[in-house]
Parts: sequence; C-alpha cells; structure tokens
Amino acid sequence: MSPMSEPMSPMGEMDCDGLRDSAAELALGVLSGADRARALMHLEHCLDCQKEVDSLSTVGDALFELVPPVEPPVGFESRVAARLQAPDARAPSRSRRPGTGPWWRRAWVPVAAGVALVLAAGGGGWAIGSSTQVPSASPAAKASVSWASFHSPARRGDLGEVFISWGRPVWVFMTVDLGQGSGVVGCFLVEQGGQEVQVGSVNLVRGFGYWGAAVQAPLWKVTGARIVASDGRTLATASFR
Amino acid sequence: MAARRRPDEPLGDEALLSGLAVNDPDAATAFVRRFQGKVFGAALAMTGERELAEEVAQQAFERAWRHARMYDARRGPVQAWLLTITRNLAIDQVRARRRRASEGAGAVEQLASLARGPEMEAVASDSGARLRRALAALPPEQSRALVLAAFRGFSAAEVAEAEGVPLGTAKTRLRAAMSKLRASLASQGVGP
Ligand SMILES: [Zn+2]
Repeated sequence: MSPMSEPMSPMGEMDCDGLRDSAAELALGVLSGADRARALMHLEHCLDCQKEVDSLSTVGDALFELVPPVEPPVGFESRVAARLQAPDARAPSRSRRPGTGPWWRRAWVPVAAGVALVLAAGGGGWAIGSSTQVPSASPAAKASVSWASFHSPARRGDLGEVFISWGRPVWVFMTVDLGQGSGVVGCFLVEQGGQEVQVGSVNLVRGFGYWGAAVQAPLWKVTGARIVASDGRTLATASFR
Repeated sequence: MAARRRPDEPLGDEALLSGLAVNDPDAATAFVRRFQGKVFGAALAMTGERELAEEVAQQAFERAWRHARMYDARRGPVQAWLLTITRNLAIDQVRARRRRASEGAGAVEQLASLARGPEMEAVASDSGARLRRALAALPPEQSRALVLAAFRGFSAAEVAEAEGVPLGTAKTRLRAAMSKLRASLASQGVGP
C-alpha cells in the first residue's frame, strides 16, 4: 500500500476508541490522509483525546531530543541564508493569524476540511484557526471526508493535499507545496465526465499556499482536483478513488 | 515575545525567532547557528543520507521562517517546534522513497544507539536518561514498531506490513511503546 495513493472513502469522524488506537501515530505525525482527517475532526471537540494526543506528542518530542546534534555540511548556513533571502521567498504583506492550535494541527498541513477553518475578514480567503472559532460546519454534522494528494509528472512526491468534507455546506481545503513558483493559481474540482468547477484560488509563494472554503456550487461525483496556473498550465492533480 | 536582557546575555530562543519573523538578518543567522546541529541531526536520523538530510534541514529553517509568527510558546519550546517541522518534512521525504527490506534491522540499531546515548552521559538531562532506560527496556517488537514509526515515518499499517503482523497488533505495539516512554517521563513529575 502506498501512502500517497490511499483509497478515498467517505468516512465520518473517529470515535474515542479509534482515536486512542491511532493517538500514537497521530502524535508521531505518521497518521495519513483520511485517517488523520477523521482523527482531527474528533479532536476538535473531545478534550480527553486532545490530552492523550498532546501527552504522546510530548513523548515524540522527547524522543527526538535524544538524537545527538550533527554538524551540517560546510556552507549550510549560507545556503539557508540564500534561501531565506530569495526575492519571492516570502510575500512581505502576507498576513496570517497567529497559530493557537496544537502542533498536530501543523501550520501548513490541512486539517479536516470545515473543521478548523476561519473566515478571514474580507471574505473569500480562509485561514487556519483554533477550535473555538469553528464556523457553521459543526462537529455534530459528522460529515464524511474525502482526501487525495496532489501529484505532478514534473515533480516527484506529494505536492499537497485536498480534503472535501461532505457536510452542509460542503467544505474544500487544499494545500499545495510545489517547491517553486509564485502567483495566483486556480483550485478546481473535477467531476465525473471531466467537467470542472473552480472552487477558489490561492496565491502561491515559492510554490506554497493553502486555501479552503465552503463551496456553494452544486457538486456532482467529484473524482479529482486540479491546481492550474494563470496561464492555464496544470501544476498538480489529485484523484479521489 | 520581546526579551529583556542584559547586554552580555545571549538572546533567548523566542527572541531569536521573533527576529526571524521580522526578517532581522542577525537574528536569522543566530537562529540557524543555534539550531542547525539539532535540526540536521534529526533530519539525518530519519533520512540516513547527508544530502537529503541537508535538503530537509534547509526546508525546515525556511518553513520556520515562513511560519515564525505562528509559533506558540504555550505549546512548547522553540527547539521542539523546529524539530517537529523537521520531522514532518523528513517523513514526507522518506515516504516518497522507500521501502527497503532492511529498514527493520537498521531501525533496531538506531534505537540501540539512542538508548546507549552519547559517550558523555553527563550532558543528558535526567528525563533524557530515564527515557533512554525506558527505550532500552522495551521488548524488541515494540521498539521496532516505535522506531519505524518515529524515525522512518511508517504508519501502523506499514509497520504491520513490514513486520508481517495484523494491523491491530502493530497499533497495540506502538501504543504500548509510547505509553511506557510516557510513564518514564512522568515518573518524576516531568511532562504531562
Ligand atoms: Zn475522544
């Protein structure tokens, strides 16, 4: 089984037992795709399980504290500095809400769609927020989640993820990390039969961006997702199976 | 997060991170210098290749810089945050490459060396020493599961496949290992 092509199946939130079984994996950052989404949905409202995951996370952290430091190769520092000084490395006016969530809601990693998203002022864009600010898609909705990872023939490995939470409303959340390239790209869902629905757009900064929103447009048998550059080029695709 | 300090006192981790967040080049340099050994060490422990480890370590600093404003001191120290970023990046890398049959054997050696610790045991903290003892005391099947997950990025399903055991068994082993380590940390009031 490849972790990058985990079969998508619509599933609801995990229960406490399932969460306890998966807490160690979640704490070590190895719970993947749909399982992670289902676990995070549960954690949004279960304090006991949050505590369990937090305390196991501390164990994971402690384990890595044991790893002895190793001097990196010569020139490491200047190569990092060059990377940080690249002109498009970070948009100057990029505003993010300060993170308040626990680390397992990793900064750039998708959380379960519709569970921990907060509408940014001005509308249209969304940012990761804390559990206290969950909008209308309440955990009680127990929406099923679809998940797929983005790929591209041009680049090896995972290029991000897309989550769809099939509640009312439907939520879509995407992260993209292409490694390079900046500018606004379109986020599309692909329906069976090939029809595409643009569900949003995101400004990539050095290949990185995330986006999420409630989707009002009716969706029918979504089979995949596509990230498209302003010139129409396909940058990454994902398929739900 | 602004630090008050005497002129001869080095800046705290959080103050450096604040400097990083506002693009202060001196703070950025100091930040990288302070943590590069730990970050590279963790990346190397997970990838096993210096070249790939450097790429992961560079990405980790870049990501830390991008997300410096999202750091939350209430969640833990800067170094733990940075190592979490490093681990996540390394997991993505090792997942994109593997799997070799030899993973299991190498993993056990890795754990053994972690449990032995550095030559200079004096530098290890109390909690570190307790954790090492707990690691050394784990049954072999539990330590394999733990190392495959923590350092190789295996999910429980992948551990089960690698070990030829049912998924439930792999999950149980992983959970048991983590619980024992947690108990060792908690034994003297350290940790939650
Ligand atoms: Zn629970």
